[in-house]
Amino acid sequence: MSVPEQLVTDPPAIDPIDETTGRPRRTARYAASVVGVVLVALIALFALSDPSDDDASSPLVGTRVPALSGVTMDVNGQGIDSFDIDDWRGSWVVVNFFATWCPPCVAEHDDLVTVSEWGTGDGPGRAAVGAETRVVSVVFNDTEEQVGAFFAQRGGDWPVVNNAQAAIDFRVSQVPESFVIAPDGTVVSHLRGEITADELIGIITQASGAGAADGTESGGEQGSEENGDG
Amino acid sequence: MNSALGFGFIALGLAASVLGTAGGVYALASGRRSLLATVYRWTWLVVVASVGAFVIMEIALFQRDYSVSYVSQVGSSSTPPLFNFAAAWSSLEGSLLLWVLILAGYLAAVVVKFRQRLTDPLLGWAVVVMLGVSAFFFALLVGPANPFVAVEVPAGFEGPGPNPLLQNHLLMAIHPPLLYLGYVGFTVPFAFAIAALITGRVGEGWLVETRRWTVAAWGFLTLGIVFGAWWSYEVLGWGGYWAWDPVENASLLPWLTGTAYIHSVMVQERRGMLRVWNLSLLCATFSLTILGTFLTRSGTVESVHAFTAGAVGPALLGFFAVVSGLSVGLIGWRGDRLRSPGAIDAPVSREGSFMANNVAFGALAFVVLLGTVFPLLAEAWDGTRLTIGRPYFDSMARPIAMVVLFLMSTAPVLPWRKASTEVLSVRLFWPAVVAVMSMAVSLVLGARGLYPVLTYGLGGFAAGAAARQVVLATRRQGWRGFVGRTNGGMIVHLGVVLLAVGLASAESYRSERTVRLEVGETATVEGHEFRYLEPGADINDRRLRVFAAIEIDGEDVHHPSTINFRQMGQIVATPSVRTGFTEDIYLVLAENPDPDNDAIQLRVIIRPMVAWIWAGGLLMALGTLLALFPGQRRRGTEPSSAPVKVAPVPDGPPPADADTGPRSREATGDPEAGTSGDDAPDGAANRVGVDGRREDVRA
Amino acid sequence: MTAEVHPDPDAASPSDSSWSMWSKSQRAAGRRVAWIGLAVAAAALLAVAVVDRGGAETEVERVQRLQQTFACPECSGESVSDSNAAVSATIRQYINQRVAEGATDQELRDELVRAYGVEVLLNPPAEGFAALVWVLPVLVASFGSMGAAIALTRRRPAARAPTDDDRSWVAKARARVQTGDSTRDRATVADAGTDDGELSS
Repeated sequence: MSVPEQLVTDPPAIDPIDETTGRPRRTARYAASVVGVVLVALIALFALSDPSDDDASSPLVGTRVPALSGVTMDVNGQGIDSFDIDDWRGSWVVVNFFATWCPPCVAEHDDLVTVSEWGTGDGPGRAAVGAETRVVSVVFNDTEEQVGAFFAQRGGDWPVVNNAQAAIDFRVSQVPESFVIAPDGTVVSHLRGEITADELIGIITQASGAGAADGTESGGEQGSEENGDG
Repeated sequence: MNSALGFGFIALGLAASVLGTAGGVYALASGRRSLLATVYRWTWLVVVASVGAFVIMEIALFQRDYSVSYVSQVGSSSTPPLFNFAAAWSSLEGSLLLWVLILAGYLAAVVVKFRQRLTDPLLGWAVVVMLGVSAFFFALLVGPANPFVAVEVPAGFEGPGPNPLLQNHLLMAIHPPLLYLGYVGFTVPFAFAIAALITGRVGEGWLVETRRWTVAAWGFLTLGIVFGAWWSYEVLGWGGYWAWDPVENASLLPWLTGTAYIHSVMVQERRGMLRVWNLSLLCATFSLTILGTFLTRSGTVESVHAFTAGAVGPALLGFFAVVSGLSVGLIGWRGDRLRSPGAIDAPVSREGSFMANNVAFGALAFVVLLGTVFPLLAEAWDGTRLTIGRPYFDSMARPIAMVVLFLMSTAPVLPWRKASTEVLSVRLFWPAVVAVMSMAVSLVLGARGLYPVLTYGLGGFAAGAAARQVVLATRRQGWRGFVGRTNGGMIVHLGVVLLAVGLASAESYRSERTVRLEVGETATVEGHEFRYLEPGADINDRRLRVFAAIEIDGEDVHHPSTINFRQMGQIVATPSVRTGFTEDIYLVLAENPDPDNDAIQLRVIIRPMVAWIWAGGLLMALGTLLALFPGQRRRGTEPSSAPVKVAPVPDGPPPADADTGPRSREATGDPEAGTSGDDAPDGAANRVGVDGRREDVRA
Repeated sequence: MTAEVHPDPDAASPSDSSWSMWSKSQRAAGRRVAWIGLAVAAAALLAVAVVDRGGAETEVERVQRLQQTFACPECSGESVSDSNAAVSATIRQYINQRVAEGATDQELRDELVRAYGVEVLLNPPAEGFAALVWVLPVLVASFGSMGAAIALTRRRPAARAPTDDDRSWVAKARARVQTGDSTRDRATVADAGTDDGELSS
């Protein structure tokens, strides 16, 4: 249906007058100005914010190790004892979060045993990196019986700590996850998923040989790429 | 070959859009209306280009032509046909292709619908605006988001296939097109709104022309959002359907302003008021679709849905700046001159309740926008990283939802202009009885808590008011009592009530447990028995699916599973849902069968009345469809936009009849007879109504 | 003027016959009583719904509630309760354990914030800059309501006098009505007044 021509009207040339106040009405103009200012701010905000600030690597790498203390479990002949990771300053430390119900944890256990034997006592690791390398396991959502049976069956004689806070502090998402801590207490690497002895020993050797700063970086890189399918 | 052809089509589309826009602006600005005809020729080229490009893309997908970059990203030789077809919009570039296809469809529909008025400047400007929008999207396709880049792939390349989350449910094939039909559909009323601002014809003419388009776009958007929620529920395995995720919020924002618009527009149609406000709402709606696209496609806001794409983000932001700047500028420049005179007679009236509706929806839109962008704001302010999540949105949205439900109860029975207590007390009586009854029933059934019970009460209230309208209308008009905007709108309201009741129940009375089961073991959760029959797996060349057979209450067997898609290395937990009228049982395989003893971790979520949400959404869509059918006979141009001089038509009934009839009846205070009718009851009463009104003018 | 064009609906007699055995005022009084009854019933039912919550929160309920208030740090805005991400399982487990140990909500909140930062809270804190996210919506809603209230109560401009065009229009419409259905005339005597929007657009 066609529209009669007279419908095509131009708006009045002057601003309309508000009948109550006698002044020109400017509501739309004021409102549009306010909205305009907000829009400019909003667009500037979007334009200036950087969408690509997501970090894939762990925020812990390069920082001081979070507090890790508690009572050890009465497993693998360790008995109940108090444990504090700060007492191990001066040694390389591998912190391993695990659970007995997690297949990759089971699979990597032998490698942890290898690392422990390599790094402690008179193992070859001590000479290679100039300090002892010790392992501590942190239990994740598991029972003492299960853990006891697990160590009895598969070996390993390092302390086992049950501390729920630790998983949060270390920002563990999914067991197994492992951390390599330098003798000065810096987190060198955060490894997600199953690890191997060669990998761990490689990281420790490289970090100790290349100096703390470089080691931190390369360890971090390696850690972030290691996204096992646990 | 395909890539060259496809690129040819999008280049053609860009050229045609740009030339059409430029030609149209020149023709309109110089006043040479005869030139306008050429604009419409360009629109047909745009249509040819977008259809051509889309068809070429589908052909390339089905031919597994990996020399086309987009196919090499989302195609795969093992994707089944349906998902291969849907792969065309499973990633950024393809979804833009779908966007221009739909936009071209709307463009063609506008040109065909208004083919007899092609020299009208209002229409000319509207088409120019639409061509401008299509020029922008074609430019994206030609430039930063070109899907047709020719690439070389190694021999034996199989293609990754679309994102696994997007290829395991039928809903994913239809949710995006529906959403885009809604998003893009708002281009039409937006274009007319801009045209009205430019030509100064902000009366009711343009708005009546675009009324159905707006309602249709709104319906598509509604369905798109509901299907999106449904898909999330059936596929993502988190037991929910709405996470206030930025992408969900982005789709909700234009829906909220669009909903405000389709209510307040009635005030303008009926009373000629709120012209500039309605224009602003439409401009806001369209701007928000662009902003939403920017937010979801640029990776600016973190989201599970986010696509990342380099230059597309800034381009969309720039386009948002242009669109919103143009709208705000035009409104600021001309708004005050275009405002209608007149004022609302009384707060307690239909107009008053529509304004309250606008405040509620405006506030909700503001909350959603603020919550979505606030993390960015906080980070820019002092570097704090914040999360704004469900609890925030819930606590903000709930009170507003209660206000909306209350308005839904009262507005349909309120007469225009002014209501008396008498009218209200009569018309609201039975709805109020329904409200109290539904609260009582819910309490007897065990419901507790302020919000859910209030929702049941207000839901009953609103449903009573809506049902009253439909009953009265069908009694008077027969089957026509179901169609037309008002009656269809009431069906939509009933859908909203179903949805609200479903949401309140599913949110408030959810229970959940994770149980460890070995084969043959039974766990009892909330009175249901879950028996783990056996684990299983099926493997094909696309995926490895591990499932557990779970028998619920000894009746039916469900298979929650995890699917490992080979090409993507992504594991998806696919829930199995037992849907029921009163409750859903939602099973997720939280942990695959243990290799040693086949033990699983099973997550059981029980939520009542989830199905009501989907039913409500579908009912809303049905109501929208009914609202699109003409109710009582109507004329193409509404009288209310016509100057007084034109109004008396010597022959035939006065044009005002369809609109004035029910009003006259309502205002007399005949409470039982009054309905919310925008669709007039019958001719005779209408004419009398017109008469009576005019007489009052004289008195 | 207003009084003339908006006759009190109470004065116009509703034409339904079903109530005819009572007088109009009796009906109105009856309805008033019924409304009071409905209002009292609604208030009572709501009171029951709010007060009778079935005792204190159980530990399971508390864990579920807490799980819904913390964000999965690796997802976007999903709660640890909803999220299937592994880190969410960790935090869920942590919440379980701490609740079992008797930690207060505040302690739990502080511990998780210390570990993951403020972004672990789905509900932003109502302090500092973040308080704006709570205050602004209230402000906007208040301004919106005020704006609508002003628009609704604005004094209407006086109606203009009818022109000859109006009169002839009315006369024509009238002439047509003479032939129409007259039984409904009664219902139309007083449609409300001037429609400024229509007459002057």
